[in-house]
Formats: sequence, structure tokens, C-alpha cells
Amino acid sequence: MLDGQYGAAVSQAMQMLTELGEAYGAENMLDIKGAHVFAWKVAGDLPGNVVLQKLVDMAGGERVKVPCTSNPLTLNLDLAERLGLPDDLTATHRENISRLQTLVRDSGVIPTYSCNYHYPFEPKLGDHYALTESNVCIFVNSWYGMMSNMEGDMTALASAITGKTPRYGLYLDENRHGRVLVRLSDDVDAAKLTNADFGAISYRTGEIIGDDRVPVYVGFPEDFTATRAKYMQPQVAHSSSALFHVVGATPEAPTLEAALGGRKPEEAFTISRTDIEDVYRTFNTTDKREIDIVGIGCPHCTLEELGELAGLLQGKRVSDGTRLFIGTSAAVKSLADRMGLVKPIEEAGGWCFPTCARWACCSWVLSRYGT
Amino acid sequence: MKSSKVQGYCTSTPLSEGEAVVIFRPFDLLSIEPISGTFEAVHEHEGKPIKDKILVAPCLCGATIAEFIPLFLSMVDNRPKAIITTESIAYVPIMSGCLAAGIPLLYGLDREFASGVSTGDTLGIDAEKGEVGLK
Repeated sequence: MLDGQYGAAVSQAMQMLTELGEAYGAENMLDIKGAHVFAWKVAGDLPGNVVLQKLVDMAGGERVKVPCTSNPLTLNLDLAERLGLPDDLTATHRENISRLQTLVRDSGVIPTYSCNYHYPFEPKLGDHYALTESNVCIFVNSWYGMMSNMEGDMTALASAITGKTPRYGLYLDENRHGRVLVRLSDDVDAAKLTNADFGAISYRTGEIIGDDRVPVYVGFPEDFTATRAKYMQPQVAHSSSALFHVVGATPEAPTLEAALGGRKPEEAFTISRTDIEDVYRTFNTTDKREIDIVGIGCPHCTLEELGELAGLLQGKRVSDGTRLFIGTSAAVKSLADRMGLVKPIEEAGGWCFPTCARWACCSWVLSRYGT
Repeated sequence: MKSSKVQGYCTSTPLSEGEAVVIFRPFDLLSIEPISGTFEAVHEHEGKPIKDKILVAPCLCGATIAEFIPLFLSMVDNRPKAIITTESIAYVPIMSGCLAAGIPLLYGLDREFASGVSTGDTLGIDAEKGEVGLK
């Protein structure tokens, strides 16, 4: 591939992967089963233009060699009008999103447009993937035991158009073993933990670890589901570890000993109720009681969450002056529609859209308040 | 001269040196304003330029889209001389960005060595030996 017989784009991609492998001391290349690409939220600004052009140039008209999913667009263009977004926000933005959609189509990427991992692949323990987007990578590594480093956009695309990745990092068994033991303290009732609590636990864990060591959790509830695992990605806000284990729940942690690879943990700590509350205080930056917008679905909501939300909203109304925004993938939205889960959300005055929830919320706030 | 072995990506220059900027906690490259090349939300370095500095941090973290910060810094000639971390495997998105931007990214810096480095110290990088030294 390096010598150009498969084309210039493949050669350049392999050159990048070779340099990547050298930087990490990889001994050889692996064949990958799939990839996830295009994490950058391409907007109509200078960085958006630069990144988009870089990705178009890298792809070079090649088609991906393995099944490949895509991250959400900044905005689902079909929703711009309904969201009431101003023209100046969407003019160049529209053009760039349209170019990215063309790139997705022409390169043979599956237009899943989701930051949550759904359906296109058959998850299998130990298979090799090249996934960008931190929460996709952590979820897939941890929940399914599929192997991927937390790729950048460029390395993931390079792997997608070559079908290769250098063997290093989380492709090596020894790097997947847990090194830090995390327990819940006695004042945390595991059975009553909410999805948000799991996010707070993960965030606090990342703060304490502060490097690339893999945490192992013990004492989690028996009904630790995929949705809860999805909330366990904030550890990367303060660490560079794209993997966690939950003893008794995730596939590489049937026992504590297995999760730790037979070694003793380098560090152990407990998460208390105060730790969880401290994380909430970090993010609650106002005492204002009036709520402008409630955004749910970052990462995208699962079917389980939409079912829960539908139940909570059945027969109720979203308050006047408050906007409820729920983001999910088109695939999950379609299933939720068929199951009658979207109807009670919309009848309550909520919005459930297949787009990036964070971008949509931010755009909506920007369009109304300019800040 | 104290020194530490490192691994990672280094450009072709065998020897280089520069002024250290030390951050004592995991660092998200999105804390750098890419066009002006200055630190944001890093209170001890707020508003200071990263150009030609050697950034030292325990690890790199945060959103994968920080991958493109090195590329933007390179575009507007605000490149740091190097980024060095103590983690055992450097954060891949930033390695990806540094490869594309030609910015050295080294990892595995000895923690004890790193704890003896202060902002303003001069660090020397020997790419051939895979070594970082405090001058």
C-alpha cells in the first residue's frame, strides 16, 4: 500500500499509520473489522473549513475498505427551520454539512450519524476496530470488549481506507488490564444510582486517575445496562484511558482477578456521595430556577432511555418557556416511532430529533440569546 | 544534567531545546485558542503564547476533536517545539494531530524527572537517543 499501487490516498493513509505505529513502537499492522469516522463537528467557520478540506483530501475519492459508521453532523439540515435557526448560522454551515454528507456517501460510509453505537456491526469480543469519538470508543471497548484505541479523525479515516491499524495500545492484552480499583463507599446506595450518577462517578474517577490507567469498578448494581455503560465515558475529561471494567458486568471482568490481569491494583480509592454531589456542583453554575432548555441525548439516547422518557412524560406538559430537546440516532428514532415512544414525548411538547443534541441545544440558545 | 528516556514522535531535527511550560494536571488541548496560540482556561498561563515552548503535562485528555488544534497552530505559525507527557501511551487523537502538523509528541517521561521541571526551565530533546534533559 505504501508504494502507491493502490492509489495516492491509500499510500498517504498508510504512511500516516506507519508513522503512528513507529511513534508507539508497534511491531506490525492489524486487519480491522470496522471503523467509526468524522467526529469533528464541521461548522461554517474557519476551523470547520480547514478540517473538512483535510478530510476530503485524505479520502482522495477512495471508498472505505471495512464497514464504517459516522458520527453526528453538527446539525440535521432538515431540522434547521423547525429549530428556528437564523440564516447566518446556517449559510456556510449548510454548504459544509452538505459536503460532508457527500463525502460520507461517496466513500461508502454508513450514514448512521450517531455518537452512540448502534447495530451496523456484530459486536464480538476481541475484534479489532478503529473508532474515533471518545464515548463511542470507551463504550465499545468496555461494554463489548471489542478492541480499539481512541482514534483521531485522521487516523480513523486512514484505517478505514486501508483496513489496517498499527498494533499498539488497547490492541495489546497487557494494556487492557485494570490498574486502578474503584469502590463505592457505604453512603452510596448502588441500587439507587441514576444514569447521571454514573456519569458523575466516571468524571470523578478520571479526575483522580489523571493518566492512561484503566479503572476497575466493583460494587455496581446487577442491572448495570448498556445505557448505564454509555454514561461512563466522562473519565476522558481528565484522563486518556478509553476503557473501564465493571466486575460482573463487562466482558473482560468476569472476576476482579481477571479484570486486573492477575496483578494487584496500583491504586485504590472509593467514590462517596459527596464526590458525586461535588461533580454536580462543578457543572451547576447558576442558582437561577427558571430553565430555558433541557437537553438529553449527549451521547445519543438509547431505546431504553426513550422508553423511560416516554413513561415520565405520559399525560404531562413541558412548562411554558422551557424547551425540551431529546437527541438520538435516526435508527433508534425510527424504532421508537414504531413503538409509540415518540408520541407521548411530542404530545408533552418535547422535541425528539435525530441530530447532535449538544449542537442543537447550543444553536437554539445562540439564536435566541446570542451568547 | 538530569534526563529521562521518552518515546513517541519526533521530527527529523536530532537535537532541539526550548523553554518549558509545565501544567500539573491532565491537559485538554482545547484549552488553547488555536488562532492566537494562547492558553485559555489554564489560569497560571492564561493568555500566554505556546509558540516555541515545550509543553509538559502528566497526560493529554478531553474530546477527540482536540486532534486538530496542532494543525491549526501549525497553520498560523504558532507551533510549540514539543509536547511531552508522563503517560505510558500518549493520547492518540493528539498524536494524530501532531503527526499531521509535524509537532513532536513524546510520552513516558519519568514522573520524578517531570516533578523537577518548572515553567521557564530549559529542556533539551535528543530525538536520536529518545531523551529529554533539564539544562
